This record gives sequence, C-alpha cells and structure tokens, in this order.
Amino acid sequence: MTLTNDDDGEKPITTLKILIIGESGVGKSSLMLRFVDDTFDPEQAATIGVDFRVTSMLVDGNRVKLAIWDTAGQERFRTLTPSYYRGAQGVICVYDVTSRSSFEKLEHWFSEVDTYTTKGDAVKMVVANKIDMAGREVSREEGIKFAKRHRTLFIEASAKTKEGVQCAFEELIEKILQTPGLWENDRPAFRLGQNTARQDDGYCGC
Amino acid sequence: MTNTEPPEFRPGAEFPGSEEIFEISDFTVVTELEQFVVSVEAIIHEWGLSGTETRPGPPKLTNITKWDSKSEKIQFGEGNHLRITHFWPDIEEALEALPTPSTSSIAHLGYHSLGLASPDSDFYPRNNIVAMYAATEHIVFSPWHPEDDKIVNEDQKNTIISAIRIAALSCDCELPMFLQYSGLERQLYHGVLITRSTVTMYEGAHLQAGQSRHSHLSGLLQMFKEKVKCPIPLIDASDIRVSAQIEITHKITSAEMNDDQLIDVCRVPFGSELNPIKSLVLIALWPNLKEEILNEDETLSDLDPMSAFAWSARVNFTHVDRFLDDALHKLLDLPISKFHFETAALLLGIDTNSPTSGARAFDGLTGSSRSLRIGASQSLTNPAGLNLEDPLLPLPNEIMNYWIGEIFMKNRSETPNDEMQSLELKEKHFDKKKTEKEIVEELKKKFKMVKSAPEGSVTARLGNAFTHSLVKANYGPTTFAQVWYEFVRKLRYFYENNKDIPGMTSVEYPDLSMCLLHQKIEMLQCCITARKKRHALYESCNNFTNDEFFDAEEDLSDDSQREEQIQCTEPFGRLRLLDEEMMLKDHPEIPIYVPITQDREPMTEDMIEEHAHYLSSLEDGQERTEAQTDMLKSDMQAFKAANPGCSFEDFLRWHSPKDIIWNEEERKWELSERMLIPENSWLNCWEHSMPVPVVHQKRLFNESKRAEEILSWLESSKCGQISELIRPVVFAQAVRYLLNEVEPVLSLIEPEKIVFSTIRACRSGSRDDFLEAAREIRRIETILLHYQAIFSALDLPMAKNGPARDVVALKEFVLKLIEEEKLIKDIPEDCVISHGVPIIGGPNEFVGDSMQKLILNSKQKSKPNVTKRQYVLRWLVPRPSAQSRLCPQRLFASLSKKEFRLCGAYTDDAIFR
Repeated sequence: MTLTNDDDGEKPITTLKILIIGESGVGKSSLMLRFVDDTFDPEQAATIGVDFRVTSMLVDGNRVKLAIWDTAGQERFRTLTPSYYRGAQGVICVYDVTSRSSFEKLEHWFSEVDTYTTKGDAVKMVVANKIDMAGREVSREEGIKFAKRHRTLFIEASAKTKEGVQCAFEELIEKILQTPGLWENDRPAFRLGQNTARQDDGYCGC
Repeated sequence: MTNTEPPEFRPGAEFPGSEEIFEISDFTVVTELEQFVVSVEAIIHEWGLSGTETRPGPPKLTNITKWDSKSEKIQFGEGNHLRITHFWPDIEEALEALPTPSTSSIAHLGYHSLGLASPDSDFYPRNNIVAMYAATEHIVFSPWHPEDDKIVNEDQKNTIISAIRIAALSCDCELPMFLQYSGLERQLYHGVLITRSTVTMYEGAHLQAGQSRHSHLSGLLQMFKEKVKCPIPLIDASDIRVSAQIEITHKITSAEMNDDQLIDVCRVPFGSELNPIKSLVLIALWPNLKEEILNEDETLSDLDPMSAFAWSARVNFTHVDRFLDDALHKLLDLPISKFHFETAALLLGIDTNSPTSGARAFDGLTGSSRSLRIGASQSLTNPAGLNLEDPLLPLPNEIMNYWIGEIFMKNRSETPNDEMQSLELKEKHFDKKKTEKEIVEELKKKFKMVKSAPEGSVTARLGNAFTHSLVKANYGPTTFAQVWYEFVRKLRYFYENNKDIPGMTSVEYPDLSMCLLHQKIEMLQCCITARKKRHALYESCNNFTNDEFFDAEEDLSDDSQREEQIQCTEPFGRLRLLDEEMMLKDHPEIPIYVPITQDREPMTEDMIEEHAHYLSSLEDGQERTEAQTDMLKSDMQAFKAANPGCSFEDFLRWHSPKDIIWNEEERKWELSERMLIPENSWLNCWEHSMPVPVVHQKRLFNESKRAEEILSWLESSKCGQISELIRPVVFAQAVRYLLNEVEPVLSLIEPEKIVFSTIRACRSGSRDDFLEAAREIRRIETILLHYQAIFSALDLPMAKNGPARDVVALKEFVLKLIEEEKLIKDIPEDCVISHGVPIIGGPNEFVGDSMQKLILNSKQKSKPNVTKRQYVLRWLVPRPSAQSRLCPQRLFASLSKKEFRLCGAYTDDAIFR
C-alpha cells in the first residue's frame, strides 16, 4: 500500500470518506497533515468549522481516493460536525495521551458517531496522539481497553515524529475495504462484497 | 415411408450446432427405416437400456418423486428428426427390486406389466404417461420440430412403431416405448412394450367429445370388455377393478370492491378490486373398487363426493390488478410519462400567477384543454353539489380535505386493525410460529436502516395517500398532482401561521439518514421552530425597537444592513455566568458571562453537499477557514456585548478552554502556542468583531428565506421530480405493510428480498433498482393476496372460533394449495391429471367441512358442478386365447367438457397364444 498524490491516470475504484473527530487541541489537523503532506507544523492554527484534504492511495494495486474531513473540536462547533458524519465510511477518534480529559470525552464522541453516521457499520478507530510528549496521563493499556470495549481499531501515534500515522490510516482503509456493503464501487460493473441481491454481476479482481 | 434408395454417406460431424445427431454410417443396411432402427438400437445400447429385464423394478411413485430424463436427436428418413427421450423417476435410494409375484399365475409378468395391474399409478399427476399407461420408466419418441416433424397419419404412426418394435426386440429392451402422435399439446401417445413373455400395445384416443354411450362408467366398461375380448366365460374371469376420480369446480364470482372514496388513506392500500381466485376445485377419489360396487350410467351415479374415499383440492388463480403493484408501477412510470415536466399546479390547471391563486382559481372552465378529469363518482358522492369552480379536480374538495386532514393528523396509528390480526391468527400459538415471528422481527429491524421516512410520520402518511391516489383505475396523474398541491399548500399554512407540523415538534436538525423529502419537511419545521424562538427572543428583550421586529418578519434578503455598529458599554445579551470563579482578565471584579448565541443553520443533505462543494472549490485551507468564520464571529460579537471590557483570553476560556493555560509561575493566564501565532484566524476575527448582541446580529440561520426556498421548491417540483421524491417513502411503506402481514405465508416467500432490494433502491435512487424492488414486492403481494383470498373464501370467521388444531390445519392446507398452484404453473405441458392437495379426513375434518360448505352447499345448488371425470379400469385375463396366461389389461379414460381421452394398454401372451 503506497500513498501518493500523483495522478497516474488510473481511475480510483472507490472514494472513501474519513472523518477525524475528538476534543480541541488533541492534534486532529496535525494527524491529517502528517498523513497527506508528510509535514508537521507546531504552529498549526486551531481549526474553524471543518477542513478537508483529498488524497489517494494504492491498496493491493487498486487506487482508492480518500476525502479526509478534519473537524473543529470546540464545543460550539460541535453542532456543525454531525452534518459531516453523513456517508463517512471511517471515523478516526483522536485523544491526547497527555490529557486525561480528552480521553474521558471519547465516550461522548462515540455516542455521537453512533447517532449520526448513516452507514451503520462505519469503521471506527481510536488514535492516541502525542506519544512523543512527556507527561503522559493515559496509558496504552487504558486506550486498548477502551477500544476493545467499543470494538474499534486502536493505535498509538505521534503526528510530530510520524510514528504510527501512516499505519493508522492504512489499517483503517484496509478494514473498510474488507467490510462488505460499506463502500460502493465507482466503476460500473465492478462490485465487490455486496450484501444485497445481484450477486450474479459480481466481479472479483482484488 | 420406406423406399429402396441407398442411404447417403453422412458423417455426423457435418451437422452444425451443439445437437449431436445419431448417425450410423453402416453400408450393410439398405432402407431408411433400417437406418432408423439401427440408430435407435445404438442409443438404447449407449444408454445402457438393453437387457433391461435384469434391472430392478422402478420404485413406488410419490408426489414428490422427481423425474429425470435424457434426450437425443435422431434422424428419420430424408429430412425428419425425432427426439428420443428416456424418462425415469430420480430416486436417490437404490431401486428396490419388485418382490416376486406371490401368485404363480402372474409369475411370467415383468415389472412393467405388473405395473399395469397395480393401482399405484392411478391418477398420478406428475407424469402424463404414468397416469395414462402406468408406465413408470419409459422411452418417448416425439417430433423434434413440433410442426415439421409431426406424426399426422396412421401409416406414419404404424411404420415408426413397428421400427421401434424391431429395435426393442433386437436390443432386448423391456421398457415401454411411446410415440407422440399429432401436436404436442394433445398429449396423445401410442406405444408398445415387448417382454420375453408378453406384448403390450398402448393405444390412445383423444377427441373433443366422446359418444354419449361412453360418457359414463358403465359405457366405458362395456367398451373395455369389447376391446379385451376375454376368451374365457366372464363368470370364470376375475373382476374388473375400477378407480374413479371426479372434479367439482366452484367458480368464484368476482365481486367488485366497495367503491368508497372515504378510504383509510393512512393505511397502505392492499388487495385487489377483483377476486384473484378463479375457481376452487374439489377432487373426490374412489380407488381400486370391484366393478359392481361403483355404478354410473345415464340415470344414476354412485359418484357422490360425500361418499368418496379421499378428497383433495386445487385452486386456480386468475390475473388481477393488485393495488400495490399497480401503484408502484404507475409511480415509476411518472418520470418517463408525458406529465413528468409539469408541475402539480400546471397539471391541475391552477394559475399560480394569478392574484387569486391562493384561493384556488381554476382556469379549466375557460377553455384550457388540459387533461382534467372529472371525478367519475362525483355526482354520486356529492349529491349536495359543489362549488362550480371545483368540479374539474379529480378528487372532490371534501374528500381531499379529509385526506389532508388524515395526513396531518397527530399520532395517527398505522398498526393493522383487529380484522387483519385475526387473519394472521396471532392468538394461536404454534411451535413454528415463534421462529417465524423472529424472522419477521429481524427483518423489520434490518429495514430500519432504509433511507425513507420514519413510520408514523407525516411524510409516511403522505406516501400512503399517494399510493391511494395511484391505485384506482380512474385515478391518474391529476389525482397525484392534487394530493401534492394540497399537501404543499397545507405546509405553507403551517409555516405562515407559525404552527408546528404535527409530529415534528421535537425536530432539531433534519435527520440525514432519512430521504430528502422528509429532510425538507423537517427543515421546514426547523424554520418554524427558529422563527418562534426568534420571536420569543425579541419579546424577552426589552431594548428592541418595534419596527425592527416587524421588519424582520417579512425580510427575506440578507439582513446585513441591520447589523449596525453598536458600541455597547452596557452588558447585553447575557445568558448565564460561565463560572462563579471566572473573572474577566482585565476586570477581576466582573465575572465572565456566557452570551446568548445563535444556532447554526440546520442543513439537509443537499445543502451539506452544496456547502462541501463550495468549500472544496476554495483554493486553500485559509480561504475555507475564512468562509466558515461566521459562527465564530457571531459568538465573539455576542461575547463582547455580554462582557464589556473583555479580552481574547476571556473569550477563549469560554469558547476553547484548551487554548488558555494557567501559568503557575507567573500566576497568569496565557494563550496556547497556536493562538499566539500572529495573524491567526481566531485573533483576526476577534479584532474585527464588534460587541453586537444576537438580537442585532445578522442571522446565521435566515429561516424565512430558507422556508420560502423549500416551499417554492416543493411548489415548483415537476411531476417526475415529485415521484422521485416520494418513491422511497411509498416503497418503504409498502414493505413495512407487507412485513406486518407476511408471517403466515413465510414458508412460501423470501421476504429478505423485498427488504434488501428496497433498502438498496432507496439508497441509490435509481429507477432500475426501484423496478427490481417492485418486482420483489409484487411477488410477495401476490402470494399474500392469494392466501387471504382463499382464507376469506373458506369463511374465516368459523376458523377464528374453532380449536387451534383446526386453524393450524386450515393454514397449512391453504399454504399447500398455493404452493401446488405455483408448481402446476411451472409444468409446461398440459397435465392430464390435475393434482390436488389432500384433505385429510375428507368432509369429516375441519378443512373438508369448510370446502364442503363452500363447494357442495353453496347457493343451494342441487347438483354439484362436476367438471371432470376420470376412470381407470384394470382386468387380469388370459389373452389372446383361453390357453394364454393371465395378462393385465388397462383403460384410462378422462371425460370433461373440453376433451374425451382414452388410453388403453392391452397385453397379449407372446408365447401361449
């Protein structure tokens, strides 16, 4: 699986919508920028409303287009974000390992995800960010325990040092592609893993 | 047929196509007939059917026996082809050898000859040849091409049969062989069976009507005896055994449904105008009786169904228009109809531009040639007479008002009424029931994810009303348009009068998992709520000026000019204290207040899409941020107004507490790194924000503008668009209705197909997907309709009060009837024997009693309507001479208004002649 922004002329097999949510200041925008541009700006301004980036990556030889939506974490912006949950196949919930409160708020974020995602079985992932920093307040074990309870993917990462970032996105996207019925193929007559009728026109190229 | 020309050399490979043709290039044979015989022999050898006398006998046939067959194409003469087919019952278990005949008098008979003497294959419904000739395993020669290769005269028939006979003899093949005579549909066969001790000739006759002297049992017996020519005195011969079966047909008269327009518009229409049952047939059987026990001639008959030994029944359905199917297809056809680009008002001939449009001015009277229908039932249902301006609408005013009233009724329950529940026999507990209930519940749960309108919502009821508007033949696009027109008018009424849309008071944001139409109606409610809230805010605020308030009411434009630069020194628009401990940075004696803030604009999915599209059209993140600062700015203005003398740090303590950090060493609040970035959007925004309380701010959610947009969008929707908007609602409601009802017929259907195809169609919105869903819905609708029709024909009220055992038996019987009917439809050939579902216990049990009441006693008919009589006569006599051994003789006769069929199997001893 390789990430590339270059357009090699190959048509993507699908477009996936990934949403990044979590408390203010946990590093949501930094994670996105690290993944998309491979940069880190310590002076990343606080997001207002929503922002997004479009990129694409190769999964097993198939090009997958990604629209990554980054949201503001502030309470007052929170009424806005549910609109953008619509149609998301993947949701990344971020907390800051140096902030206990950001971890404790995860519960709330998850209930919001369950309420607003329209694809019932959107793949969820918990990302514990800022592991490079001193003064850790949330242990890895606690994070894993939470993820297990909510049946989500889990990874510890640092947008600053790059650790775990690429892996987080890759895991999430692979999991989405493995979930039948979650994604629609953009190419006609190329349907994978449909859970509804019309199995007969199926094509399996992956 | 035969000629002396030498055959041409024809290699088999010469013939194109996949059909392999049996062709033997043997120059020792001279005639075409011999060539044919050789081909037949080759096939018999290849299929391993030679020397069949050593094979075990065929098993006893049952109704579930599956049949298997194998065919080849075979050349006959110069240009004709026959199909040779071997039929055999496909039974998994090893074929049991027939027990050796106990009596030595028939020890010489092979199993096929014995079959003729056995009553086992009497009236066997699954295979015509078995029924007609008791030939369980057999070979059939039929025309390859139904017309070109048809056997049309006796000479052709005799020639081929003698050829078959030669082939069978030389191969030692003891299978009955038949030749199909005349057209395929006549099912007329002649044939021969040659065993080492007997020869059986199979002779068929098929006429439109028989002679009257043969039209009863005694005449047939007479004929049979004449044909067999028993060589010994009848007194010494064994008895003729007789089986008889009669069919009594009860035609169902199609009663028209009550044509009442005050129907329950909130329930999904289900059913049909005409009864789908054409007839119910009772089949009475007398098996294997001695000749003298059963009498029937011109004057008297022992064939009284009440005295029959066994009963069975069959149902015939006729195609009728089903409400749901009819409505769904009309709905799907609208976008491709000529009306698709007309708005509802246009179609109705309502001039929306005229000043009196709101008061229903119709131009139909003044020469508009638009296809306005005059409600057919109007003069009947409105004897009082309506306003002269109204008659051109398909639904009269009072009916339309009733419909609209029902649609907007609060808490209207849509659960099936008691009558339907009794149909489902819910009160009867039955082990299987539980799992069926679970299956349905699971499907209902799955169906919750459908992108439609929630059950019991205004939108769902609108969907049901639309279905009604599409159902009846005299309804059309104009009725459809009228429902829409009135519905949107009513929505406008709610909005203009600040009234909540029933059942929607608690809506905060449009539910994006619902269909667009439902979202739009929810959005309208959001507008109503927002406007009420705004009015309340103005009222609670002492400092507002009257004219400003009333201006706002009608102001549909962007109200930016209203946002004046008000320099507040007095605190304004405080909601509550942020925290008792939190004081302004520069005024430690004043606590920080949370201001009254504006709500963001709720969005429907198309608005979100539009917004997302707009955001992605912007160059970079900076621009995107700029485009979204309106709410932040509003919050900052409100905060500044509520907290005179406040600083950016104070604002952040409320708005983004993570960005303000208490520095213990210097004992002061500090901004986070990211807020310290020079020129960052937050800071910029803060600096450009004036203290303006919410009341004086530009509205973030201009609800009057939005509401007007939604209403005029709904009003100007074309019929094609409307049908697309309402599609997910109508389909989901249909599925919900069916899921409530399907439990009793679950064993006959695949209900998950309607669930998944509809979910898929509602998500994709594609017409093809909806067509697919409509097909699945139709399948289930038909079966359910049939089920309910039979139940009501058999007089359900009795069943309701009867013991549970009876009801279960009746239910199973009805299901089998439907299943059987489907099965018969799948059999392509004309069945000589109609198969019925056994009625266990005959008239003495509950099911039979219901049938008897319906068929034998209905309308006080003195004579039941006997539509078909069939007989099997069996006789074991020496033949052809008195010295011959016993040989089985058999005659099958089928008498009905349409046909007279005789099938005789006459066996001669081949050795002792």
